[in-house]
Amino acid sequence: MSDRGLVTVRVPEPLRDFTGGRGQLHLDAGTVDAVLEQIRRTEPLLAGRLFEDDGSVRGFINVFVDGTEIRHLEAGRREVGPGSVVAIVPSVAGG
Amino acid sequence: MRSGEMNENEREPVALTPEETLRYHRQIILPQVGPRGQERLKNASVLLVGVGGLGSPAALYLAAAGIGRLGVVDGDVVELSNLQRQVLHDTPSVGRSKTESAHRRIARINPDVEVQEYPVRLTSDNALNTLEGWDVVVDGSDNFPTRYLVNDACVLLGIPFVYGAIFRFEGQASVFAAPGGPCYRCLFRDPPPPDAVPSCAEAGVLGVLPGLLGTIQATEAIKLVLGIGDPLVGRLLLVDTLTMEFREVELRRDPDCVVCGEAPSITSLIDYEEFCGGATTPLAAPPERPQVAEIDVEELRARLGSGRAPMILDVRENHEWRISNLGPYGARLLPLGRLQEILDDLDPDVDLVIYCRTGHRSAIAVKQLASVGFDRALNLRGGINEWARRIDPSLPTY
Repeated sequence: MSDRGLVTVRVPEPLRDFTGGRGQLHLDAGTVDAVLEQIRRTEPLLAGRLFEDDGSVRGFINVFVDGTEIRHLEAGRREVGPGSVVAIVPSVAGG
Repeated sequence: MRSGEMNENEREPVALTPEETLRYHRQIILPQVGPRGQERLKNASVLLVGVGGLGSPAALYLAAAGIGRLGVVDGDVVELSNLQRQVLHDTPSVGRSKTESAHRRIARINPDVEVQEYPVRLTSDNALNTLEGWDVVVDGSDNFPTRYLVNDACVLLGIPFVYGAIFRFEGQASVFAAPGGPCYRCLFRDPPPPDAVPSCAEAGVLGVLPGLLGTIQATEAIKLVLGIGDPLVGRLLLVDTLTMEFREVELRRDPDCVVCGEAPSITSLIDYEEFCGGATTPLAAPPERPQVAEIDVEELRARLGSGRAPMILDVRENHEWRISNLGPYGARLLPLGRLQEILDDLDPDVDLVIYCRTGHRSAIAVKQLASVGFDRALNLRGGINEWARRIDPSLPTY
């Protein structure tokens, strides 16, 4: 199956220890919530890093969909589609 | 107090000398800079928090560009392992304070730059006095408490700061605390727990990476001083050197932000070590690790020679295994990210000793295993480096 019709999730370096080294995940999902749910289901180690017990994204991680942080997406604009890029951005402190 | 320096900052602008006009000629002929812009740089002050990987290139370019006054804050001394990326310092500077090393180097590049040394770690007690009066701050610190401290101090003082942070092959840059723009807390509300983000000493960092990011920070600082272009206010630049992609995401000011929001609850500096829960991740030392059951190297050696030899698991990466390993004692390599793959094959009743380089990743592994019922796993205290130091000096440490 081609990845072209899928949503690309970019996994940053600090979290690749929890995806077996993969920097990208390709998911078939229609909404941001479905993307997050698929991560919970298929990448439990990564999910353990991303989510609080109540399911919310942890405060030192941001998830951007096509450049906009998901907390800022309006309720009706949480669709994603083929070609959408979901970027996970954790805080890093190296200097 | 730095009030004297503040006054110095507020004195009448100093014009360029003929020699300076020659030195900065290539910059002065830029229409966006011109003689007026160069004078602005000469009369500007930039404080660098940290003169390590990020602060090094930033200091070099800011000095070369003719920023009149540079402050350097760093409580560390130059170490040999710094030189792979901290290009401000050189081999003869090993053992010297970083601020002294920075001062000497800046003076050689541009003796017209006035350098103010702060050979201390920035703390809640000294931050406001140290930062007050500077036009722009460049945050090149290497730990979360200092990053939140720099943010809060800059917000409280109304000083824009140029943020940069790096990890392995990736970096982030932005401008925070600029008028109307978001701050670091608007992006990262909470610090990570101590075990969530390994340090560069633990995870490694490409030496060129801070060169890229620190240079971007210097560029933004110069733009802020000159008031030209579109600074990275409200934008986070994400740099991936492996794919060589530069992407950006949009940042917004959080009206509920505890320090820059509409009703801030933080109106003075707090205890940032406590706030970050020990989340210090300096380049030179590993962060606090999860509290798990441990075994020390002497005890492991004794058990290997007895009839109670445990199963040994190495949770480092392939390239680290090639540097050193406990293969002769039956150790098996399984990088931390693949731990889950063997859960089904693992007997929870077998004694297990897990090691990595220094004991941080293996502590995470022990914690993960304990959470799914493997309570006989022990973390090798100090990792294979400790084994090399105390048991088998023929193994290299790294």
